[in-house]
Amino acid sequence: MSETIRIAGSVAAANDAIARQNRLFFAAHGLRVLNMVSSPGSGKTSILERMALTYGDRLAIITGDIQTTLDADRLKAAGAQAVQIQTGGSCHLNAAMIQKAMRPMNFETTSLLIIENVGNLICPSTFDLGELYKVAVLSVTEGDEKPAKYPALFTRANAVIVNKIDLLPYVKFSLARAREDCRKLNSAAKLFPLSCTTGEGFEAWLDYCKALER
Amino acid sequence: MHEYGVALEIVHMATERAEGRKITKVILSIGDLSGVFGDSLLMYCDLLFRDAQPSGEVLFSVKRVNAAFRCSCGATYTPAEIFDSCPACGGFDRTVIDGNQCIIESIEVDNE
Repeated sequence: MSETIRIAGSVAAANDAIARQNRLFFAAHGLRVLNMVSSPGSGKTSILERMALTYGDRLAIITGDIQTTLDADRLKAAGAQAVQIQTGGSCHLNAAMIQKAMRPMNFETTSLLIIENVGNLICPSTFDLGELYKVAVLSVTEGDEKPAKYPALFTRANAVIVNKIDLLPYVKFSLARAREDCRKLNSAAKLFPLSCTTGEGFEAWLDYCKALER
Repeated sequence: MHEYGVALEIVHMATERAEGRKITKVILSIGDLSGVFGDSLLMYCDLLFRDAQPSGEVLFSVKRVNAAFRCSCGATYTPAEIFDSCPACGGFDRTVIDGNQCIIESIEVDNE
Protein backbone atom coordinates (compact mmCIF):
# COMPACT_ATOMS: atom_id res chain seq x y z
CA MET A 1 0.00 0.00 0.00
CA SER A 2 1.39 3.39 -1.01
CA GLU A 3 1.73 6.29 1.43
CA THR A 4 2.63 9.89 0.74
CA ILE A 5 4.92 11.52 3.28
CA ARG A 6 5.07 15.29 3.18
CA ILE A 7 8.56 16.70 3.80
CA ALA A 8 8.54 20.27 2.41
CA GLY A 9 12.23 20.56 3.21
CA SER A 10 14.79 22.70 1.47
CA VAL A 11 17.74 20.71 0.16
CA ALA A 12 19.83 23.61 1.43
CA ALA A 13 18.63 23.12 5.01
CA ALA A 14 21.79 21.43 6.25
CA ASN A 15 24.02 24.10 4.71
CA ASP A 16 21.74 26.91 5.88
CA ALA A 17 21.87 25.68 9.48
CA ILE A 18 25.66 26.01 9.46
CA ALA A 19 25.41 29.35 7.66
CA ARG A 20 23.27 30.57 10.57
CA GLN A 21 25.98 29.44 13.00
CA ASN A 22 28.53 31.33 10.93
CA ARG A 23 26.32 34.41 10.95
CA LEU A 24 26.06 34.27 14.76
CA PHE A 25 29.85 33.91 15.01
CA PHE A 26 30.38 36.90 12.73
CA ALA A 27 27.91 39.00 14.73
CA ALA A 28 29.53 38.02 18.02
CA HIS A 29 32.91 39.16 16.68
CA GLY A 30 31.58 42.29 15.00
CA LEU A 31 32.66 40.99 11.62
CA ARG A 32 31.26 42.30 8.36
CA VAL A 33 31.54 39.57 5.72
CA LEU A 34 31.34 39.72 1.94
CA ASN A 35 31.08 36.70 -0.37
CA MET A 36 32.78 37.52 -3.68
CA VAL A 37 31.44 35.49 -6.61
CA SER A 38 32.53 35.57 -10.24
CA SER A 39 33.73 33.48 -13.13
CA PRO A 40 37.43 32.48 -13.16
CA GLY A 41 39.78 35.25 -14.25
CA SER A 42 37.53 38.22 -13.54
CA GLY A 43 40.10 39.66 -11.15
CA LYS A 44 38.81 38.80 -7.67
CA THR A 45 42.24 38.09 -6.26
CA SER A 46 43.74 41.19 -7.89
CA ILE A 47 40.98 43.32 -6.38
CA LEU A 48 41.71 41.85 -2.96
CA GLU A 49 45.45 42.40 -3.44
CA ARG A 50 44.81 46.05 -4.15
CA MET A 51 42.49 46.28 -1.12
CA ALA A 52 45.30 44.87 1.02
CA LEU A 53 47.42 47.92 0.12
CA THR A 54 44.90 50.01 2.08
CA TYR A 55 43.82 47.53 4.74
CA GLY A 56 46.92 45.48 5.49
CA ASP A 57 46.16 42.77 8.04
CA ARG A 58 42.86 44.45 8.95
CA LEU A 59 41.58 42.62 5.87
CA ALA A 60 40.93 38.92 6.46
CA ILE A 61 40.31 36.69 3.46
CA ILE A 62 39.14 33.11 3.05
CA THR A 63 39.89 32.15 -0.53
CA GLY A 64 38.64 29.04 -2.30
CA ASP A 65 40.04 27.18 -5.29
CA ILE A 66 39.92 23.63 -6.57
CA GLN A 67 43.69 23.29 -6.16
CA THR A 68 46.79 25.23 -4.98
CA THR A 69 47.45 27.89 -2.38
CA LEU A 70 48.45 30.42 -5.04
CA ASP A 71 45.75 32.93 -4.15
CA ALA A 72 46.31 32.82 -0.40
CA ASP A 73 50.05 33.15 -1.01
CA ARG A 74 49.51 36.28 -3.11
CA LEU A 75 47.15 37.81 -0.57
CA LYS A 76 49.46 37.13 2.38
CA ALA A 77 52.34 38.67 0.44
CA ALA A 78 50.13 41.73 -0.08
CA GLY A 79 49.68 42.06 3.68
CA ALA A 80 46.25 40.55 4.32
CA GLN A 81 45.44 37.69 6.66
CA ALA A 82 44.52 34.91 4.25
CA VAL A 83 43.52 31.28 4.51
CA GLN A 84 43.16 28.94 1.53
CA ILE A 85 40.43 26.36 1.04
CA GLN A 86 41.28 23.73 -1.56
CA THR A 87 38.02 22.04 -2.44
CA GLY A 88 39.64 19.24 -4.43
CA GLY A 89 36.78 19.31 -6.93
CA SER A 90 33.76 21.07 -5.46
CA CYS A 91 32.74 23.96 -7.68
CA HIS A 92 31.65 26.17 -4.78
CA LEU A 93 32.30 26.85 -1.12
CA ASN A 94 29.73 25.82 1.46
CA ALA A 95 29.07 26.99 5.00
CA ALA A 96 30.86 24.04 6.60
CA MET A 97 34.05 24.80 4.68
CA ILE A 98 33.96 28.40 5.93
CA GLN A 99 33.33 27.30 9.50
CA LYS A 100 36.36 25.00 9.37
CA ALA A 101 38.59 27.55 7.61
CA MET A 102 37.92 30.19 10.28
CA ARG A 103 39.28 28.09 13.12
CA PRO A 104 42.94 29.15 12.89
CA MET A 105 42.11 32.79 12.08
CA ASN A 106 42.48 35.71 14.48
CA PHE A 107 39.86 38.42 14.03
CA GLU A 108 40.88 40.79 16.86
CA THR A 109 42.07 43.52 14.52
CA THR A 110 39.97 42.56 11.48
CA SER A 111 37.92 45.34 9.89
CA LEU A 112 36.49 43.28 7.05
CA LEU A 113 36.32 39.58 6.17
CA ILE A 114 35.97 38.69 2.51
CA ILE A 115 35.30 35.21 1.21
CA GLU A 116 36.69 34.77 -2.30
CA ASN A 117 34.55 32.00 -3.73
CA VAL A 118 35.60 29.41 -6.30
CA GLY A 119 35.55 30.92 -9.79
CA ASN A 120 32.07 29.99 -10.99
CA LEU A 121 29.06 32.17 -11.85
CA ILE A 122 26.44 29.51 -11.15
CA CYS A 123 26.87 27.29 -8.13
CA PRO A 124 28.26 29.76 -5.55
CA SER A 125 25.40 32.17 -6.17
CA THR A 126 22.88 30.15 -4.20
CA PHE A 127 24.92 28.82 -1.27
CA ASP A 128 24.58 30.84 1.91
CA LEU A 129 27.91 31.01 3.74
CA GLY A 130 26.66 33.32 6.48
CA GLU A 131 27.79 36.46 4.69
CA LEU A 132 26.28 39.90 5.00
CA TYR A 133 26.27 40.48 1.24
CA LYS A 134 27.16 38.71 -1.97
CA VAL A 135 29.34 40.74 -4.32
CA ALA A 136 29.37 39.81 -8.00
CA VAL A 137 32.51 40.54 -9.97
CA LEU A 138 32.31 40.86 -13.74
CA SER A 139 35.15 41.89 -16.04
CA VAL A 140 34.64 43.79 -19.28
CA THR A 141 36.36 41.03 -21.25
CA GLU A 142 33.49 38.65 -20.39
CA GLY A 143 30.77 40.53 -22.21
CA ASP A 144 27.98 42.82 -21.04
CA GLU A 145 25.31 40.12 -21.33
CA LYS A 146 26.61 38.23 -18.28
CA PRO A 147 24.04 39.61 -15.80
CA ALA A 148 21.20 38.60 -18.14
CA LYS A 149 22.63 35.11 -18.55
CA TYR A 150 23.20 34.50 -14.84
CA PRO A 151 20.20 35.99 -13.05
CA ALA A 152 20.54 33.67 -10.02
CA LEU A 153 23.67 35.58 -8.98
CA PHE A 154 22.78 39.09 -10.06
CA THR A 155 19.37 39.05 -8.38
CA ARG A 156 21.16 38.21 -5.12
CA ALA A 157 24.23 40.44 -5.25
CA ASN A 158 24.16 43.62 -3.18
CA ALA A 159 27.11 45.00 -5.14
CA VAL A 160 28.50 44.39 -8.61
CA ILE A 161 32.10 45.20 -9.46
CA VAL A 162 32.79 45.70 -13.18
CA ASN A 163 36.55 45.18 -13.39
CA LYS A 164 39.17 45.87 -16.04
CA ILE A 165 37.56 49.09 -17.28
CA ASP A 166 41.00 50.11 -18.54
CA LEU A 167 40.33 47.62 -21.36
CA LEU A 168 37.02 49.22 -22.43
CA PRO A 169 38.58 50.84 -25.55
CA TYR A 170 39.55 47.37 -26.81
CA VAL A 171 36.47 45.24 -26.11
CA LYS A 172 32.80 45.32 -27.08
CA PHE A 173 31.33 45.96 -23.66
CA SER A 174 28.54 48.40 -22.98
CA LEU A 175 28.75 49.65 -19.41
CA ALA A 176 25.31 51.22 -19.90
CA ARG A 177 23.80 47.85 -20.86
CA ALA A 178 25.43 46.03 -17.96
CA ARG A 179 24.29 48.75 -15.55
CA GLU A 180 20.73 48.65 -16.88
CA ASP A 181 20.49 44.85 -16.75
CA CYS A 182 21.87 44.81 -13.20
CA ARG A 183 19.32 47.45 -12.22
CA LYS A 184 16.48 45.38 -13.65
CA LEU A 185 17.63 42.26 -11.82
CA ASN A 186 18.26 43.98 -8.51
CA SER A 187 17.51 47.69 -8.31
CA ALA A 188 19.18 47.90 -4.88
CA ALA A 189 22.56 46.63 -6.12
CA LYS A 190 25.36 49.18 -6.36
CA LEU A 191 27.64 49.07 -9.40
CA PHE A 192 31.38 49.75 -9.13
CA PRO A 193 33.16 50.08 -12.48
CA LEU A 194 36.86 50.01 -11.72
CA SER A 195 40.29 48.89 -12.76
CA CYS A 196 42.47 47.23 -10.17
CA THR A 197 45.37 47.73 -12.57
CA THR A 198 45.13 51.52 -12.94
CA GLY A 199 43.15 52.23 -9.75
CA GLU A 200 40.39 54.06 -11.61
CA GLY A 201 37.13 53.78 -9.69
CA PHE A 202 38.74 51.86 -6.82
CA GLU A 203 38.16 54.58 -4.26
CA ALA A 204 34.39 54.24 -4.56
CA TRP A 205 34.68 50.50 -3.90
CA LEU A 206 36.86 51.16 -0.85
CA ASP A 207 34.31 53.69 0.40
CA TYR A 208 31.56 51.05 0.10
CA CYS A 209 33.65 48.60 2.14
CA LYS A 210 34.59 51.25 4.70
CA ALA A 211 30.93 52.04 5.27
CA LEU A 212 30.32 48.38 6.14
CA GLU A 213 33.20 47.71 8.47
CA ARG A 214 33.06 47.87 12.21
CA MET B 1 27.63 21.03 -11.52
CA HIS B 2 26.69 21.08 -7.85
CA GLU B 3 23.57 19.04 -8.61
CA TYR B 4 25.48 15.96 -7.40
CA GLY B 5 25.68 17.46 -3.92
CA VAL B 6 22.03 18.50 -4.07
CA ALA B 7 21.05 14.98 -5.15
CA LEU B 8 23.00 13.50 -2.23
CA GLU B 9 21.00 15.68 0.13
CA ILE B 10 17.72 14.64 -1.51
CA VAL B 11 18.58 10.96 -1.11
CA HIS B 12 19.58 11.56 2.51
CA MET B 13 16.38 13.45 3.37
CA ALA B 14 14.13 10.96 1.56
CA THR B 15 15.67 7.82 3.03
CA GLU B 16 15.64 9.33 6.51
CA ARG B 17 11.89 9.98 6.31
CA ALA B 18 11.16 6.68 4.59
CA GLU B 19 12.48 4.87 7.67
CA GLY B 20 13.43 1.72 5.83
CA ARG B 21 10.41 1.57 3.52
CA LYS B 22 10.82 1.40 -0.25
CA ILE B 23 10.60 4.84 -1.87
CA THR B 24 8.60 4.79 -5.09
CA LYS B 25 8.39 8.47 -5.91
CA VAL B 26 10.10 11.76 -5.01
CA ILE B 27 8.34 15.07 -5.68
CA LEU B 28 10.53 18.17 -5.98
CA SER B 29 9.95 21.89 -6.48
CA ILE B 30 12.76 23.72 -8.28
CA GLY B 31 12.69 27.49 -8.71
CA ASP B 32 13.92 29.28 -11.82
CA LEU B 33 16.35 31.28 -9.66
CA SER B 34 17.57 28.30 -7.60
CA GLY B 35 20.65 27.74 -9.73
CA VAL B 36 19.74 24.05 -9.94
CA PHE B 37 19.53 22.47 -13.38
CA GLY B 38 16.68 19.98 -13.29
CA ASP B 39 17.96 17.47 -15.87
CA SER B 40 21.36 17.17 -14.18
CA LEU B 41 19.72 16.85 -10.79
CA LEU B 42 17.45 14.04 -11.92
CA MET B 43 20.35 12.21 -13.53
CA TYR B 44 22.28 12.25 -10.26
CA CYS B 45 19.17 11.43 -8.23
CA ASP B 46 18.53 8.39 -10.40
CA LEU B 47 22.11 7.15 -10.00
CA LEU B 48 22.24 7.76 -6.27
CA PHE B 49 18.87 6.20 -5.55
CA ARG B 50 19.89 3.08 -7.49
CA ASP B 51 22.81 2.82 -5.06
CA ALA B 52 20.75 3.61 -1.98
CA GLN B 53 17.81 1.45 -2.95
CA PRO B 54 18.80 -1.32 -5.39
CA SER B 55 15.44 -3.07 -4.88
CA GLY B 56 13.31 -0.72 -6.88
CA GLU B 57 13.20 2.19 -9.30
CA VAL B 58 12.25 5.62 -8.02
CA LEU B 59 10.12 7.97 -10.09
CA PHE B 60 10.76 11.71 -9.94
CA SER B 61 8.29 14.51 -10.37
CA VAL B 62 9.55 18.08 -10.67
CA LYS B 63 7.38 21.14 -10.28
CA ARG B 64 9.07 24.20 -11.78
CA VAL B 65 8.48 27.37 -9.83
CA ASN B 66 8.63 30.58 -11.83
CA ALA B 67 10.41 33.63 -10.46
CA ALA B 68 7.91 35.98 -8.83
CA PHE B 69 8.47 39.51 -7.60
CA ARG B 70 6.88 42.09 -5.34
CA CYS B 71 7.23 45.56 -6.76
CA SER B 72 7.73 48.63 -4.56
CA CYS B 73 4.35 49.81 -5.89
CA GLY B 74 2.76 46.85 -4.09
CA ALA B 75 2.02 44.69 -7.11
CA THR B 76 3.19 41.09 -7.25
CA TYR B 77 3.85 39.48 -10.60
CA THR B 78 5.42 36.56 -12.40
CA PRO B 79 7.19 37.84 -15.48
CA ALA B 80 7.30 35.82 -18.69
CA GLU B 81 10.91 36.98 -19.05
CA ILE B 82 13.14 38.04 -16.15
CA PHE B 83 13.55 41.50 -17.68
CA ASP B 84 9.82 42.17 -17.90
CA SER B 85 8.90 45.20 -15.84
CA CYS B 86 6.11 45.49 -13.30
CA PRO B 87 2.80 45.36 -15.18
CA ALA B 88 1.28 47.86 -12.74
CA CYS B 89 3.90 50.64 -12.72
CA GLY B 90 6.48 49.63 -15.33
CA GLY B 91 9.31 49.73 -12.78
CA PHE B 92 12.04 47.33 -11.61
CA ASP B 93 12.23 48.24 -7.94
CA ARG B 94 11.30 44.75 -6.79
CA THR B 95 12.20 41.88 -4.49
CA VAL B 96 12.11 38.19 -5.23
CA ILE B 97 9.21 36.44 -3.48
CA ASP B 98 9.34 33.05 -5.22
CA GLY B 99 11.65 31.02 -7.43
CA ASN B 100 14.74 30.70 -5.22
CA GLN B 101 13.85 27.35 -3.78
CA CYS B 102 14.91 23.77 -4.31
CA ILE B 103 12.62 21.71 -2.09
CA ILE B 104 11.79 18.07 -1.60
CA GLU B 105 8.01 18.38 -1.24
CA SER B 106 7.09 14.79 -0.50
CA ILE B 107 7.90 11.16 -1.10
CA GLU B 108 5.72 8.13 -1.77
CA VAL B 109 6.65 4.94 0.00
CA ASP B 110 5.49 1.35 -0.25
CA ASN B 111 4.17 0.18 3.09
CA GLU B 112 4.20 -3.50 2.16
